[in-house]
Amino acid sequence: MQTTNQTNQPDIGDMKHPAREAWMAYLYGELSRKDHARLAAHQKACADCRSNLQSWQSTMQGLDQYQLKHVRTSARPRQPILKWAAAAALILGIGFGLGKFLTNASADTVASRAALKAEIRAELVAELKQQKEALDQYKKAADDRRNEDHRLLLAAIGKVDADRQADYVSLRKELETVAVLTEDSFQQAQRQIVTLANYSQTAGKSSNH
Amino acid sequence: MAGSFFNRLPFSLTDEQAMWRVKMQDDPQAFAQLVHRWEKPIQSLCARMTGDIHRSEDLAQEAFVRVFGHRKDYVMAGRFSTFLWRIALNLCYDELRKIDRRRESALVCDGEENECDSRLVDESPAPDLLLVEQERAEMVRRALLQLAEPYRVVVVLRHYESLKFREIGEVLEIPEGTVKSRMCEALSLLNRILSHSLKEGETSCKPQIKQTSQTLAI
Repeated sequence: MQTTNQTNQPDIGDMKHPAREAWMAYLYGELSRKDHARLAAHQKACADCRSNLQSWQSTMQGLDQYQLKHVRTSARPRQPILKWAAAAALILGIGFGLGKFLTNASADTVASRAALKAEIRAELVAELKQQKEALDQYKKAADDRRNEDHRLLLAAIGKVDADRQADYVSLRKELETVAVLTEDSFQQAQRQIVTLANYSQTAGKSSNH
Repeated sequence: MAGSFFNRLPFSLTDEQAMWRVKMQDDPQAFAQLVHRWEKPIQSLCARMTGDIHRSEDLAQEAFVRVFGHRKDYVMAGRFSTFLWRIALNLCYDELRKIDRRRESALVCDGEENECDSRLVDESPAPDLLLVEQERAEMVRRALLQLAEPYRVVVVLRHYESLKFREIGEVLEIPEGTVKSRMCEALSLLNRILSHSLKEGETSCKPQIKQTSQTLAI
């Protein structure tokens, strides 16, 4: 910790006054043990520094008197609301109790419950019927769509089959043509060989003579 | 509320780890942990900076809202506390500006040198302030409010929130030596104000150094 001397402070013998920054660190316990001991020794010997220190310490004690009360809920003006809420709840409770006590409505209750039951049942039946109708409609629509898909599929298969048949006939015709042409070529070649052979024999005889 | 919740947590994160989770994953549990740890200190800071304990709760809440809003700005290299103190202090400065503006617009004691600075002072004394201790606390509260912000913030952070001078320097982005010299000035000034108040029975009304603080970068 820095305990540099202030230039404007006078020396007391060979001892110099620590800087006020050092005293702050001293007061708040931020000095090393060695520096703390040095400043403690200084303030014992130096009346000026002791006086300053006492003044600061007195202020620090004054600051300690300002403590906060952390009253999270009570600090806020919420109590009136709570009081009103409690009062409202109480009045409601009393009203409800009185109403229940004063009203003899058991017969009415049974009748209204029966009426309500019948009404709910009718409503449920109607809703069920409606749902059934919707389900039937959905089923019919699904069947129609499936039949249509089936028909389209068959048509597509028929078309593919016809195409395949036509291709087959066409291919066969071409093959027969090729076969006929090959046969012609073959016979022509055979005839040429025979002609060539005859020519060779004739040429041989004439040379012997 | 949150105490029982955190007792159920299998482990406790450091502030920086929790904030990292908040930043990267928007982790609500980690954020709740930070709020639980720091709610009281931030409330205290706001209360002493503004002199209004009721408003301090709102300010603290707003500070955490801002922390969440600025979660992407948080850098892991920095301490979470520094980040949080800065956000809270900026809110306090904003609040003090608002109060100043309101005061200026509704200034009744204009031109009078010895008129009392009524900033944040409830003129009608509450019944409980009749107790001597609370009167003394009120006197200190008023004295603190008379300090210019750069001095007040140092006193509040060092004396009440127990930050080291070095940490205060980091939060305020000023050298540690400056923090100490401001602390010294503040203590001397407070000593004069409090002595005067004790003598006069009321806080000094002489104008203090009108110096305001710059908004801190978070």
